[in-house]
Amino acid sequence: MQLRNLSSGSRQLSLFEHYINDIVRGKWFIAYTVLLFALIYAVLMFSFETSQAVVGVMNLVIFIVPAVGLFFTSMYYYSRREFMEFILSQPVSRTFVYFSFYLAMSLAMIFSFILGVSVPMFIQGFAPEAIKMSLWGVLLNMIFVAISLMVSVLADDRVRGLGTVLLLWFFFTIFYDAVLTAVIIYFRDYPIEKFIPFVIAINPVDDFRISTLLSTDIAAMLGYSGAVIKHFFGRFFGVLYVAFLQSLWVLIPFLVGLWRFRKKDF
Amino acid sequence: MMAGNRLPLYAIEIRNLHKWYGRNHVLRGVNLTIAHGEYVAILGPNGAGKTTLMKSIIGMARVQKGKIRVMDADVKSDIRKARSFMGIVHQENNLDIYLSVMENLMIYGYMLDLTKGEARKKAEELLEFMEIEKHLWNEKVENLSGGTKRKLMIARALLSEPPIVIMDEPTTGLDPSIRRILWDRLLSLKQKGKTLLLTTHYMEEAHYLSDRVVFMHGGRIIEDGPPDALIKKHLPPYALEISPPIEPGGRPHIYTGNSLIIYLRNPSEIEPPEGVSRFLLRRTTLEDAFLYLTGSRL
Repeated sequence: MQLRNLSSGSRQLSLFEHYINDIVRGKWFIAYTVLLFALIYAVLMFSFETSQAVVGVMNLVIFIVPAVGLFFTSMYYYSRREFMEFILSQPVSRTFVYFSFYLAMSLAMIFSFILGVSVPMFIQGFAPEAIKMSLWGVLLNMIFVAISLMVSVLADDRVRGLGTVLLLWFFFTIFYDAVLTAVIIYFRDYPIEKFIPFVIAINPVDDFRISTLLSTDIAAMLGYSGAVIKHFFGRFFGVLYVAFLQSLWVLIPFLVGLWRFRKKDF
Repeated sequence: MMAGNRLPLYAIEIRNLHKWYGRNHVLRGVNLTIAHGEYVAILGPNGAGKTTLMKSIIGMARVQKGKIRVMDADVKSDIRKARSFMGIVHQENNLDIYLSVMENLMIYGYMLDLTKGEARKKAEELLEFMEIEKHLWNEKVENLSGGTKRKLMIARALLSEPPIVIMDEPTTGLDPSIRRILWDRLLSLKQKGKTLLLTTHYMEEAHYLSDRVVFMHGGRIIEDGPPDALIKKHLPPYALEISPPIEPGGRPHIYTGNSLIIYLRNPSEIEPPEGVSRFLLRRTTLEDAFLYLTGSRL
């Protein structure tokens, strides 16, 4: 009888390679990268100054990246669930499987972001802004992949899972800002600015917006919450504070998803 | 290798296993032992707990109460070791459909720490063993027939040379000729000393392949033994299907819709009465025994 070597390092690598190959060669992924590149390039062609370019790119990124991160991760998870069940019945730990999936998906999305956003910015001569936006883009992608993976693990039913990510996208990109604006206008006579550092923690999209604008120092475009953050923390600590919030947005969904993944029955 | 090369007493040992999904008590105190090299089939209707039992053995469903040991490795506390003894063929097709036949085996070979050369050699041996034609080896899985996909899943399960093979309804949905080929391949694994545990809806499959069959009903094992002995234990050797039903006269019998099945010691015990539309005499099967014990069809 042969008992296989139980060391998992190379298995882990094989699984990670498998996932990343599988994602990157998908038509969906290629189409997304090309489309992102084309859109960003087009926006930059019509931008005549740095602030206009950064804000234009940022607005597109805020709209597209969370949507693709949420939907693509969830759809890929559900479409590969049977294969994942096979992997889970092998002598590998569930943590490794979860981590491989998350890492492969995040790296693929980041790769796509760099090709689709950073490269056209470099080409059009916005190199310093491209570097800064790439750093925040890495976190933005990691956040929405983590959220989507968590939702997919929690919801066994594909329709419920995809419905939930659709609602989350709507909440983060549209609904939350609309409500926040209404609250700011309605309570403008009250000292609400002291709550802003906590309020923005609820929305990772706002965190991305503020961190991008703070780090590129486009103060005129900071908006109310960005201006408050800058006022409270200063530019440097403001960036650190928002980076901290974004790290929490990566860690918390990742860990909740992992906890459930380790416990659940397949 | 096992300590001192001594095999544990059982390949699989299950003691007082319970499983709940929410408030649904799916497994209710299952006890089962499987010896090395034994072929065991678990039979039962939908909802009997077969798949949950299988998932518990391979660690896909958590053990909540009771013990499962695979080659002495505790499934709850040492699942990775337990899994290293098992090759698993799931009910659903979980091959990577965008990869070729060979790539599906190779990628799994890499996960088992095999080198490229080792993985390829092993994959070729297994594809030949499972009688998958050579011209299909580089074909994408999505283009294969259901039977070939199932053969490939079995080949993949054998890649790690596991002493135990677990199969959840391996031939469901396949046509009878493919089913026969798979049975033949599975029986030839017996010569290699493998232990086989399978669930199935097909009585004929269970009878043909297994040394022992286990009847499950309502989350419990209600009977366990060699197929022929099980039939003999509960019913006489002949079954008479008769419609419309007549008075069975104290003989073992069951009603199935508009028909009656009466079990007879002697095939000539009952002469065809007048006015019956159906009068079919045959040998008693495992399905009769199951039907008689549970009142449920498979």
